[in-house]
Amino acid sequence: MRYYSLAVANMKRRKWRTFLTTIGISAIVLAFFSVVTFSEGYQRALKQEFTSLGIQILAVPKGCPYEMTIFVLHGGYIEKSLTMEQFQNVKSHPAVSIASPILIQKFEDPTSHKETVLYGVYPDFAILKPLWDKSELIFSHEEAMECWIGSNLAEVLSLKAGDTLPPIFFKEELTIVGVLPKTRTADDQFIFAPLKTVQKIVNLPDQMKAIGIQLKEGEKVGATIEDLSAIPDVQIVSYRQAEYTLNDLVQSTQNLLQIAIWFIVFIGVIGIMNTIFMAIEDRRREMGMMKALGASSIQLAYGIGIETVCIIVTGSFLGMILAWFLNQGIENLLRSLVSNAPGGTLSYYSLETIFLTLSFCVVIGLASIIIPVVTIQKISPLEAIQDDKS
Amino acid sequence: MTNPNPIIRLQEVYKNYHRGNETVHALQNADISIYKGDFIAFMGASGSGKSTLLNVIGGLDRCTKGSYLLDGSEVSGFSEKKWVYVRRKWFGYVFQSFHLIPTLTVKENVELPLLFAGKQSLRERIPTILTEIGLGHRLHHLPSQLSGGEMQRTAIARAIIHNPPILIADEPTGNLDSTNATMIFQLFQSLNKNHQITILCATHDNELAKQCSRIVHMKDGTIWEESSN
Repeated sequence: MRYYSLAVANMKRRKWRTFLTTIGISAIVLAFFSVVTFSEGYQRALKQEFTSLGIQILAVPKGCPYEMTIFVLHGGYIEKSLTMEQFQNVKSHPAVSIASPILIQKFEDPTSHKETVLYGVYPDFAILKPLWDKSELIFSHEEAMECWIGSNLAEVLSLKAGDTLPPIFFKEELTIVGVLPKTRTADDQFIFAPLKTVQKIVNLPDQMKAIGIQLKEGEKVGATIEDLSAIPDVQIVSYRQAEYTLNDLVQSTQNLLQIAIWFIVFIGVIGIMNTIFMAIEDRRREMGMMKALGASSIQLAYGIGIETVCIIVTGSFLGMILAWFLNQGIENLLRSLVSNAPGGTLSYYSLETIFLTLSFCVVIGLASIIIPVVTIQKISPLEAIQDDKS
Repeated sequence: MTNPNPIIRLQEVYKNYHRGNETVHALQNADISIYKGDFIAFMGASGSGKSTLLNVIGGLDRCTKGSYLLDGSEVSGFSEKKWVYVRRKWFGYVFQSFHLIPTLTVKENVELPLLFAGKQSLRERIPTILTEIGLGHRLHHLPSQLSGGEMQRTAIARAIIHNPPILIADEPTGNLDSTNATMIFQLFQSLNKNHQITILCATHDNELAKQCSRIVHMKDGTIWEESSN
């Protein structure tokens, strides 16, 4: 027999307590692991979105620039537009390498309520996108009734190059030139057509909602933003500014969520500590008897430590598995509630996160056995005998 | 033949404790010498101090005042840490309520002292000892499947598995019927005779006490009278 067998025997003796303590631990781990993986996943997904945007500077109509940035990332409806004249002004700036007009319109299939975004772009939009090939977004002419579609949309609607996009989102029929590579961003859901074609479909001739800008090598972003901001009714947002601002917004929400979670975790840990402490209190007489049989306080604490570790490790892994399922649910819920949620997977699992969670559990375990260890130290072997006489 | 060197020597031992504002004198001027191979019955009414004396001897409790020589060494001032080692080496304990762990089998219960003493090489003795005390067929049974007498015999096997020179039994037959009580005392006699284990046993039963080599009568915390059989 080893201490491990003794620990297992003790756990078996109070099956319900062991089960409920394990569930308690797994609930704490579930909350912790879910927040950590979701928080990290959301940040990564957002970063991926910005990277996939491939734009150094965005020119948008004057108003809320960050709303416009989200609009460019995920579509939506914005009243204001930019004109071809403003586009020409931007394009003619000597520091600008590529200026790509973007017209965006969100559509919903009234039957299935599935949403998509129709992008009107020039072929050079593909050059801005780091995850796309330069040969993509090639159309037969600038007013062609053709489109490229995102990989997810192609999968969902079972479409391929050469097919006609069914008139479920808008009445015009577009021929699919090609399916874009999977980027795990919102782009995978979208439709990309020539700018003039989209201007016709949405009835906004010579208009666009934004201009994606890439500067020539060595050009200074700050100075260019200053110059371009002089164009009337145009607001310039840098990729970095937009990313930081959106990150800050996300971070603030996550901070609030984390405070709530930490509070729950704190209450949970106190509960677990109490359960383990009570388990020791219930066994005072037995501990006294074991001391009479030659056990030292360290040996008894070691036995309790093994029991705690078994419960915590089991609870931790159970909690992490449950968190994985929970994250899938949250992700689906979030996507149905928040239209601006980044594309791709919103929860990120890494060895570091698992290690962090296990370390967190070790801390719970250590915190849980401090009081029992002190209690064990104070238990007298006489307690076993005194109870005989009572 | 008298052994000139007692294995245990208690001189002017006192044990006081507090119950509320009152001081209880559980042991007063206890003086006794115990020799290797003794089988002593401690008798007396409840509260006479016999359990307290056994607890002090077994290191489960400390005396307030006095000298306690164990194999010639003064142990009364030992810390709990030192007593852990003393208990492992010198004593086996049998309790009135058996105190077996319900989820461990008979064999595992008996193995506990070996686990604590780090003497697991002695594990192979377990079946032999259990067979010797009539529990050879109960090795893998749980305590709940045993009778009272079998549980106490298991507790005795657990008390002697690590070869202690002294066995302390505090009213070991208190929860047993007369048949089982007699059986337990026969077992003690056999252990005393065949294994030279010194046995110190508190009991209320005169008939059983007569089987011991010495009887120590206690009253009001003092050793009142001593007789030999």
